[in-house]
Amino acid sequence: MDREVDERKDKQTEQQEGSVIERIAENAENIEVPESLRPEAVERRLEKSRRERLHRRRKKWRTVCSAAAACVCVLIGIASAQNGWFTGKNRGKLSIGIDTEYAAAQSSPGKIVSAKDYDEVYAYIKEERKAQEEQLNERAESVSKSTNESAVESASDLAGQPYAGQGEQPAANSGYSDTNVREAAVGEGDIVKTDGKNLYILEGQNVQIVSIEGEKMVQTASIRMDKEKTAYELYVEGNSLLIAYSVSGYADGAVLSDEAYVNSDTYNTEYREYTAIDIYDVSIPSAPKLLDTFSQSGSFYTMRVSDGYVYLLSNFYADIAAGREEIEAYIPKIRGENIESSKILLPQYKRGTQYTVLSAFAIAEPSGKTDSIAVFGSVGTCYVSRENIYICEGYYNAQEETVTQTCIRKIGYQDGVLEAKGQTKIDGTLNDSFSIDEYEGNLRLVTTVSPVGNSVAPLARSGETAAAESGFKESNSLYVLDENLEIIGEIHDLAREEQIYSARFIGKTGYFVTYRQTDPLFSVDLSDPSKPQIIGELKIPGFSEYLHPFGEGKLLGIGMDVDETGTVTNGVKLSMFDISDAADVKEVQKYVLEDMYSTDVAYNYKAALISEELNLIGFTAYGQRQTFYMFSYDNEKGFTMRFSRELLGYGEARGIYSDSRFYLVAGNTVEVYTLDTFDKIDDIVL
Amino acid sequence: MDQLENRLDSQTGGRGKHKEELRLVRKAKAGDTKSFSALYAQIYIELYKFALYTLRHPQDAEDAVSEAVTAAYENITKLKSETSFRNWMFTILANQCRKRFIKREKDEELTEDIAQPEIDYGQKADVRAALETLSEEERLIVSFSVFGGYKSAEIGGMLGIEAATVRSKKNRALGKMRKILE
Repeated sequence: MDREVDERKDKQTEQQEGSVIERIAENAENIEVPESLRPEAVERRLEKSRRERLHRRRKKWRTVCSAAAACVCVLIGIASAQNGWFTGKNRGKLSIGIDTEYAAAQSSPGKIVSAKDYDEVYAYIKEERKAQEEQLNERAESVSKSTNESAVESASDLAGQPYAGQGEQPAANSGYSDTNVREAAVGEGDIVKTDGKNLYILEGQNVQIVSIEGEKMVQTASIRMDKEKTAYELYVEGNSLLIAYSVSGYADGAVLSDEAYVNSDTYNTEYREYTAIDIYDVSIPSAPKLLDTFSQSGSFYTMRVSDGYVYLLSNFYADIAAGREEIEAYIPKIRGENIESSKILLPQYKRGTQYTVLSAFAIAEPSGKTDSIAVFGSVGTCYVSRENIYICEGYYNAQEETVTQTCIRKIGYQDGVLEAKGQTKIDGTLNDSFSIDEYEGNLRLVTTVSPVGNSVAPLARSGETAAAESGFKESNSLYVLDENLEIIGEIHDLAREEQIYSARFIGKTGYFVTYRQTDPLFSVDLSDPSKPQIIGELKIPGFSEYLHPFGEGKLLGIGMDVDETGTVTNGVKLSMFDISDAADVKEVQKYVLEDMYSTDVAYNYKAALISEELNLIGFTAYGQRQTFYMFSYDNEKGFTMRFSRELLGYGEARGIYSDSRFYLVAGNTVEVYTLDTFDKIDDIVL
Repeated sequence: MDQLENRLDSQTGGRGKHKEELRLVRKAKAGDTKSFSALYAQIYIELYKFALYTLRHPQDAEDAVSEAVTAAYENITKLKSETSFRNWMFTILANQCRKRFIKREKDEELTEDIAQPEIDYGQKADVRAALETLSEEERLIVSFSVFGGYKSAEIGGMLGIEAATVRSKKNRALGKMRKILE
């Protein structure tokens, strides 16, 4: 039967059927979709399972199908022109010059090279396209049964990793809590903020301002974000409220030409995705006033605030199908202007598809002077110390290397001025931003080194076999790099067949947890950066996913309790480690929340409320339901549960304190409790 | 017929929407959970209704959508044409529903009357009665037309059966229902 007849028949039937179909549709009109299937709940679940999968896969060969296969073809040219460039002995050293056409990017050791012009950037895009096309062809030939899961992860675990760090509570003395941050004294945005007078709550499309100065909470204002905006974080400083959001859509809602519509390879230049920060004056909290907006291309990644300057990071995905003339499709914009080529940092390999776009501006004057840098390549974990921003990306190149690597680019910042300082590449991948830490000018890192397949398109299953055959397994490495990113100290082959689950560097000592069946908590003496030494290894069941210094000589671990066989998870575990003697670390107390299977803290440190001063450890855990817990700790009595509250729905929750009160913010509700006894005082629905 | 047209329109999408989806799919393939979630957000109500009417059991429907979404997320890189996220999702979900049909049959062999459907999803008695007369496959096809807005040829493509077979099954199913509804 030909198509036309088919369609006519369809039409006839549809006319007859119309009424029945309509009746069913009408009937289904008011069906409510279960809470667990709502997009936000699903997103959280997927994100969580992605993290858990990552962990479960620790022992497994981490095939990086897509990345590895894709890198292969592009990178041979560079690598072969450069014998021993990344060989064992030079591994981890800075890039050394090579005399290929694109050698510029590697011409001087450790120096970051920016693009001469857009043509140069475009050449990388073309290589990316070529690589992806070849990869597609390879994949088409490969067995369709093979799971691509690992490929998804390899890309996403880098993109989605929490950017982690030194989480002291800088505002502890000021009477109210601030977001648990990676690096003390470097501010970070979050979904709930307070200045001690008001709560600022990001809830869906609304930013709610709630006064907490009186006996009862009062909602004083609500800022409604336009529908096309997706808000991610808030930040409050002085009288300024910052709202960071992304927008995607068409600049003018223009209709594409038929040709453009049909040919999906044609990039529509009217399409835009950008990240912006709105700055409001909230000196009168009941009447927030929009003062200014700063915008740049890409989707929101993270922001930092230091000395009155905002450092905004977004991820811009270049369209590799773009033509050379379609500049907007592959060059990011800052405040509506294409970024200059001299501000685009080229990757250490010749292909690229994503940018980490970084801009600095003064909170007081967003329209004033700005400095921007676009870090080209792919996107990954970002770590911000007090002086530098490190953009790290996972790098997998089966042809050139046998193990996974991380490219690191260092950008200095001060008073809104950015300066590209250097780049390097080391073996292994980072667990999260707590695995990388700057101290006295040196950079310390712990990485998990995994084999990469050497077949052209490794499949997950065959990969596992290959790994087993070659006998090469995962292990972990520690590096100390000096300020020029030269390796000055390193330890390899730590905890074979295990992967890093969490890490924390505290002054001259580093701690990290690896896991297979038990939880070795390693201590590293870094007092001589050129001779780092493993001085302790504590083995206990289970593992910690987040480590947080908790007063003198104590380290708090939040993770999972696992039975001795390493197969059954008993629940969420709190551990207190005595680290007063780093060479002899002990788990002095523990507490298991049975039947809880996960915490937010495991992948978002901002979800924790930890104050050593007030002796509070608060976080959300998941079991059948989502529950917020608050613990306190005593050397003798161990952990005591002070408070628990089951939460409705699946939205993220935050606990914060101000003066003598504790605020639990979940979705559109705020509940207030006394901070000493956790008796409920008040609540408000926004 | 307005509703149907709306559904068909939402299926093909405005052009802007098409382009936006393409963008989101690319990002989702690169591992961006938010983009995946945004794609899902556009169709999740239809997906749930589809599963509910096909499986007639809220818990089953919830599980089916949940599993379909996980499978889709984990395999997004396999999505061939960047323009067909919706079709792909419906296909995965249809397969989930079919898996459940098979499981139910097995369960029924063990214990009778275990698959007594829960009837708490707000259906009018006559519509419910009409749906009860259909076989599982017929319900699947009807759900495809109602909640997916798909034509017989498309449904055939997604289920791997001839368009003509879909058409005749659909006619038969709707005929049965009409008798009760009219």
